[in-house]
Amino acid sequence: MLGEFEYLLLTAAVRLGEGAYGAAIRQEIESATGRRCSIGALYTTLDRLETKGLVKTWMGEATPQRGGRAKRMVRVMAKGIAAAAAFYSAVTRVSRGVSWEAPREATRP
Amino acid sequence: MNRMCWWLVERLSQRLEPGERDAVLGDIAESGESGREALRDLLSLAVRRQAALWGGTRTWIALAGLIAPAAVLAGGASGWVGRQFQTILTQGVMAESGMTPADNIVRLVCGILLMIAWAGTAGFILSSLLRRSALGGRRSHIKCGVTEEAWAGNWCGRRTRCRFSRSCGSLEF
Repeated sequence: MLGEFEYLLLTAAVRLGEGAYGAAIRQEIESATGRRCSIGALYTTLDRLETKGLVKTWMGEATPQRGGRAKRMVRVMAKGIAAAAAFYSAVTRVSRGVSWEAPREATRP
Repeated sequence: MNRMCWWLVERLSQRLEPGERDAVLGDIAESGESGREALRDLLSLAVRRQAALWGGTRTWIALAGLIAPAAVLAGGASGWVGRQFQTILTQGVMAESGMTPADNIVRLVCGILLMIAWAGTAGFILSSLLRRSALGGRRSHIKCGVTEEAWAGNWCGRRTRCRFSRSCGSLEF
């Protein structure tokens, strides 16, 4: 079973498709969650997912806006898609019938 | 302050593998972070890498199964060499052992080589373990506690520092 951040990373990478690399994934996660995503968290999670065979990474081309430095490109493998789908199904199943409305406080007489 | 942070980022990033260094510094440049944020990111990467390394069982198995025995053997060899040296310095070549002076010297040289071999083995395994971590980059010189212990033990009472250099693959004293 994936962790929450692993799921976020996989989903962001799938959404970005061919343009999935470190900084783009980071931006995608930050805009989706509204929270800061550290490079440390991103790269250690990528390493872990690669070890599990869920993603494949390789060094891509360099761009001037990156100071001529190469990108670490990411591709989600079939195993990664299956793991993300299983996580999503579990979250959907466990959330079924649950209302997220805040309970009303009892009014004083 | 910002300049100092960038200087630290530059220094710290040199300990990453070349490919990863490019990717990380490129991401930092692309996101337009301040020096402070970049330093925090790089430090978080280093800490997480170390935590991941020491969180796995492989590291502990290697530590207990290979490094510790090699360090103990290096310590033992160091003690023996130290005692031999002390005897030679105080009593001259050990004539009472029934061996010729040449035999004594050969035995001592063998002891020294054995000590270097065990200390080097322990240091090499430790450096291999740390290779993939951000703090144990390619150009780093790892101070090797076990080998330092081995040398410092009984070497005429002098504490000697030992460093294992992976870049040149040799022992430095």
